[in-house]
Amino acid sequence: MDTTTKAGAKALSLAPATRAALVNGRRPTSRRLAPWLLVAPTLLVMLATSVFPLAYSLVVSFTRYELARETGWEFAGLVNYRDALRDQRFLASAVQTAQIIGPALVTAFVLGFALALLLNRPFGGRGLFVSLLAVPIMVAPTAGAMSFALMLTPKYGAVNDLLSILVGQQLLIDWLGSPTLAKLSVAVVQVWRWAPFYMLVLLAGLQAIPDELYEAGRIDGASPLQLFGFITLPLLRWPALVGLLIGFIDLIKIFDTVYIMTTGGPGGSTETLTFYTYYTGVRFFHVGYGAALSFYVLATVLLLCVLLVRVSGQREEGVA
Amino acid sequence: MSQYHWQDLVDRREFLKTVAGATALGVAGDWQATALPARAAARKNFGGKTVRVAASAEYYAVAFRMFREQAEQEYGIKVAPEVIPSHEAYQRVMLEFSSRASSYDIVMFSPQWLADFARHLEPLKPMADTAGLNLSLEDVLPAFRDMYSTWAGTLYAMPFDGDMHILYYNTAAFGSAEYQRRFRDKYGYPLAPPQTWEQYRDMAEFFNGWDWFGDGQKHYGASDGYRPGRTGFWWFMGRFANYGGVYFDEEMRPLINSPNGVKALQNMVEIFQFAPPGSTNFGYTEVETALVKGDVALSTNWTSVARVAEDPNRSKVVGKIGYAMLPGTMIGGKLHRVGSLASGWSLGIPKYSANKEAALHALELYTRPDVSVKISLNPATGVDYTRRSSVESSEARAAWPSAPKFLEVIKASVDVGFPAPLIPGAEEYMKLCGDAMAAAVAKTKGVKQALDDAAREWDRITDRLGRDTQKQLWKAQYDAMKKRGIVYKPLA
Repeated sequence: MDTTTKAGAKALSLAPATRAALVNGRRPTSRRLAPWLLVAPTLLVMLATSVFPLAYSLVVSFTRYELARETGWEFAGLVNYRDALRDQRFLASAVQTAQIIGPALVTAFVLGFALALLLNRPFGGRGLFVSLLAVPIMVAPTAGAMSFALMLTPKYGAVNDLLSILVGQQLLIDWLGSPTLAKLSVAVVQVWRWAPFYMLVLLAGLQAIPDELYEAGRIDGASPLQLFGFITLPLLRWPALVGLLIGFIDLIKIFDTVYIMTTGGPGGSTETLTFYTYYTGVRFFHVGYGAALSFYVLATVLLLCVLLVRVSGQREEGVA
Repeated sequence: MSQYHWQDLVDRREFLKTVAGATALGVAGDWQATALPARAAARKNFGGKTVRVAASAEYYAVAFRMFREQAEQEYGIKVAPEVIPSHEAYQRVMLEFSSRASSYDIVMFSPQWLADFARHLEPLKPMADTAGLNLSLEDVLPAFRDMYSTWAGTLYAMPFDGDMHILYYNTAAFGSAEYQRRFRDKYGYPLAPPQTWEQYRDMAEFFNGWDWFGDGQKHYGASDGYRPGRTGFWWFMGRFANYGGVYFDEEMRPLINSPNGVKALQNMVEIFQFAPPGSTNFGYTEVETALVKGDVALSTNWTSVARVAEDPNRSKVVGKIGYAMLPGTMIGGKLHRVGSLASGWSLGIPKYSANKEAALHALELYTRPDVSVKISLNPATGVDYTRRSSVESSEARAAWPSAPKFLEVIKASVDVGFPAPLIPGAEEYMKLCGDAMAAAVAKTKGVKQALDDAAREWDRITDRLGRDTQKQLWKAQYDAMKKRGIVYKPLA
């Protein structure tokens, strides 16, 4: 604090403690505490509901804790983490997760982008159309999965009925009965849920692009394809990337659809990372081992979050 | 060693003695008529106290609602059943128990969980003696009483739903002279309820893919449960037992991947191709539907299906269903054929209940002979017989024209009933075995590979729980099984 300020503090009729604090270059205690007091409720809730459980489960992951057997907290070091890397079912579940969410994410994105492009032009009832297309986002994932499970029933399901009408003979495809079709079915439900999300994100991105850029391009003689390639795509890069990362982070935790539609079958072919972790930690109460598995999943999600933050940071630097 | 194992070991000698004694009594006199003792005259009134019951399905809640008024009139108890879906029951109840708490005064659980639950339950006999209640234990079918309700010599539960798998066949299909001729021409032996799983396979193949029911629809050979996990395990168990298998050898080495297990699973995989579409996810309800809608000629399922098959509101095959024990296998020139005591549900009182005495009175009411038989005769409850008096009752015999034959099949099956694993961790052993079955059926793994992998997982569970302790507890179960005539029959 400079001498002018000190003189000002003296001149003001402040309480001695406050004046002393100002003279010594510090804000009064009450003013220093005020921000902390304001955020304290939120901090406490976060500590209780996020930080503490996370720290607790991290500690548990280094133990052999078995809830059903009351084994206590026997320290196991990195044994659970090592065992996870030797656990064929866990490794298989990682591969199967990728097999389901990879194609689902790409298809949902492409479909959402196509819908956004179609809806990015004025026509009557566009608002209603967008709202209707966004319905899957509003449906509870569990309800959606149950509906799909019913629709995919071989004998009484709507999907086989429709296909039978189309081909003119009764089809009894067992959609959830073969490993390939079951993975495909689970992936289709993810496409159904995520395509509207990408549609909304990309439509917002498209509508944020100033018309002047397209006008300038047209004046320079650019074709529609060139306008798309040199203006639309580059300016949609960031919303698309953020949308893809959000989708990936959510999809890697895929659980409800699998639990309801296939319970991991047939033959474990749709057992995903979180599904296997659930069975290990929650169903059979191998809490220590289950916690270690969940930290592998968390590490993957965190890696993606860091990537997201970095990408956003680069964008801001680019804009600045 | 975990907390309860040492207790189990201390009590094991007593447990073995009890099992041996009860088994000998059971084998000799399962079906001897026994006069039921008179009920205790004193009626305690609990003044409207609520007893919360964890029921593992809506149809069990129906059973509790049936006698709610009687419970209130007799004991002044309000019975409040709450449904916990059966596939979540183990974890929900165990989670509460682990925190030394229970929201329920009576919990319904599968007997294979008793090893895990016992230390959280009240021993019933001393409670009943103190309260002057008669649980009519001598009337309970011995297999359910001694193997499925008793742990380490102590009675912790009362059997409520006495489950077992039996064979169902469509008598319209099996009785047709034309089909009989065609079958004999093709397979070289008569068409009759299958005695062996190989015959079951042939008959499933014969009836698969054509309209043998005469309704213009395509029909299928056989319906069984192939859903992964515990559900599918029950169907595997029925075959495994009849192929002469037992879960472990004397040294606690898994035998599910023995030649017995491989042949049993191979049979399932073969028959799967003659099952209705969607069977990979079939459990009790779907298999039942396939039978009662006339979709299949053969099926194996729980005994409660028989009542549904005879219910004109739910069935297209009323009067057209025959019953038999599960098929067996020819071993050493002899037919080896056993029943499959697939699960069942028992009622226990948690140590942490605040209303234990009221709960005991409710439990006594709902499991007493006259109530038990009425619950079992209601097609809406899905509850199977647990009492000798029920199986021999005139009401049960008169329930539908072929009911006497059905009751004979129950008697024959329960006498040589093969039990679920009854050692700690049973739920996980079963889940992994059911998953292996599903993997082989879905052809994501070969039969031997699937069972070898499951056996490795079983060893991991055993090591985690303590091999020595598990070995001793398995030995106790196996000794009890041997006394009921169930021993491992090695196959080449």
